[in-house]
Amino acid sequence: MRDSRETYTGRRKPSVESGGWAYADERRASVKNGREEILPQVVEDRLQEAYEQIRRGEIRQMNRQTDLDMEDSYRGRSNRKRKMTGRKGRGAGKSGRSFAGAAAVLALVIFIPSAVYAAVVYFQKSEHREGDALTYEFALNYELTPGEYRVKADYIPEGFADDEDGDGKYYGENEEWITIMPIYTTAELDRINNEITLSGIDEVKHTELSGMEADVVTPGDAERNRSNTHIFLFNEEEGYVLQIVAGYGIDKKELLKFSDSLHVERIGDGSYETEEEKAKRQQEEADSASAMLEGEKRWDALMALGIPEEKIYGVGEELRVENYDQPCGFTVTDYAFVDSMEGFAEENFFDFTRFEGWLNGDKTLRPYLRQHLDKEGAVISEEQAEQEFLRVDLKVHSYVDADPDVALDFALQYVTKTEDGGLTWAEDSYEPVPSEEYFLQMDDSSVWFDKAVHVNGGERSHFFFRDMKAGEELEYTLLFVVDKDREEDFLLYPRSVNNDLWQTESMTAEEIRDGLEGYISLQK
Amino acid sequence: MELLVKKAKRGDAEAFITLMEENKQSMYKVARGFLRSEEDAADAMAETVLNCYEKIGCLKESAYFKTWMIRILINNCKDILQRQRRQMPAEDIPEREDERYGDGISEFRELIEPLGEQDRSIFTLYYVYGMKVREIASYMEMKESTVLSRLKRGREALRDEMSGSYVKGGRL
Repeated sequence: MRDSRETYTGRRKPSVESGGWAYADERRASVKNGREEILPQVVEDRLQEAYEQIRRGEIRQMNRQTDLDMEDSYRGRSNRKRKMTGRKGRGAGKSGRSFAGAAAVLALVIFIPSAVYAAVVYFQKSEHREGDALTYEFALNYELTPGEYRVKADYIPEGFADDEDGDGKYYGENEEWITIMPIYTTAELDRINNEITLSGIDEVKHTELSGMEADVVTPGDAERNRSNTHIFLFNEEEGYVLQIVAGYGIDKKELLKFSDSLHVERIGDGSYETEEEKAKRQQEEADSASAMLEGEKRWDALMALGIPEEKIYGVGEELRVENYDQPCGFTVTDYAFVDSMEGFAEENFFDFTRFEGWLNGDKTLRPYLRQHLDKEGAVISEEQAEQEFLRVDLKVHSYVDADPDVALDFALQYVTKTEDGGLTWAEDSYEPVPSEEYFLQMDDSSVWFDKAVHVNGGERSHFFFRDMKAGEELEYTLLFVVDKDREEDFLLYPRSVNNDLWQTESMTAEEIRDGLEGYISLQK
Repeated sequence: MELLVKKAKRGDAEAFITLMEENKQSMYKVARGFLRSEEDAADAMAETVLNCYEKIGCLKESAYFKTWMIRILINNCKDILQRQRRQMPAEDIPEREDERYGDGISEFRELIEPLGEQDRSIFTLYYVYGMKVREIASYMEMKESTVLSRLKRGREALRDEMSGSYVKGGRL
């Protein structure tokens, strides 16, 4: 019966096909690989509705303020080993400011005679600049009914396709993109506490585009960080704010020409949240924030506990994965840091395309520009990092009677010393500068596996898995890419274990520590 | 996938939607493992899309996006089941046939009806949708051995009735 699925391949709704931009190639590859199947129309329709809600900006990501801010937060959070305290700290600050801002706006609304502006404008905007942060505050005229709008551009840069779906998205030939999203109506501005805050910005240029007051916002270090460009257009008379976001690399003049050619049409009336809806949403947000805060406290406690010594195994010692009744044992039998990938077959790389441009003629790795970030995500230093390969020879033994399907890949866990000489998870991190467009050490995973069997098409997602026979022992080799100056900063662990580490919202620090399966140290 | 997850966490809506498109087949399989009708599966999936978009910033480990997402989906499926149970007896819940599998799926569901709800889901995910024990264990937050033993126990319980093609085509 399972095989019958294979006949449903290669077709999808046109609207889905046209909905992507940067990932179109991935989608085409996916179709080629025969992984596409037909889903019932009702499912496709409901998914499309959900996507549209997201595209229209109706669904907000928790603690998300703006794309600019997220770029900053992302940089800070991208190391999976660090907690979210920094982000939370900023979020908490923003939240406080947000309420203060809302209160000020409320006062403004009360004391400005409504007749003075009700007949004229939907909102009045004020802005405040503080360091690299910019806040727009909106005093809303609640006597006017919020609208719903559709935007269309008259001028589309060469190589870009028209916005056929009318969803405010324009795609270029080379993965460039421009979106007009979201459209902040007064109802939406009310929902986000009457303010939009941007952080990490360098320059705000005030201008006029499409007959509207406009701000062109440039993030700091835009080129190095491959940042998007943001343009805000404010229309107080018609009651909306447009946010145009363009991916890195688009010609600025073209973007401005595009932004100056917009036509906005009011297509209907919207509505403000009722008090009941607002209270429900705020309660949900408060509950989520509370849960996250609790999770962070537990994370801090876990960091203080550290990794138990008895859960760190040495070379030649077997790490037996005990959490299944069908355990396997992993042993590092040998390892070596090697400069060149000479002798390691290209076809055994999980994704050799990532290495394009990073290999010298002798198959050694080029250095890359690296940032050292503290646990809050702030840049401490920046330097060129020399790279090398780490070869790890392993042995896995199946202790089960059945034939298990075993994940054989390992990952690196960067650690730091505690005051008492033990090890705990490192909260600072080292990241490539985004402009390096470097993905060799992504998630500290192994990049090469000499015993892969799932190598074709969609099976490749199981590249590091193998079916083993009962009692079988298998020897295999993995390669990692590491920085030369960090050879002693990490432990190894099977990718399939220690998953509870991230469950701080549902488990105590002690429960997580006690549930760890273990790590392997190359120095032990 | 991990790059897409990272982009989605930055608030990149299109990256997030692409992620969902990449995973919608798996989502559908899981949803149908729990829910009888296509409409209910569609509701659970759509709700999951929105939940995941809201909460993806909380996901600490990009590599576990799919597991995280499927767990949210399973919770949504369970919510729908609970609502239905409160509203009407299970036998009255309308069922729409999954056209891709013909009549067989109805017969199969009928066959496994004596099993508990969780076991029925495991059986459906395993036998109808061909998911691996490892995947089921991960999504349902169970040990693989638990999934295996439930399959084994369930097969024994249904031994007399399950003489048709389902078990013969299975892997145990």
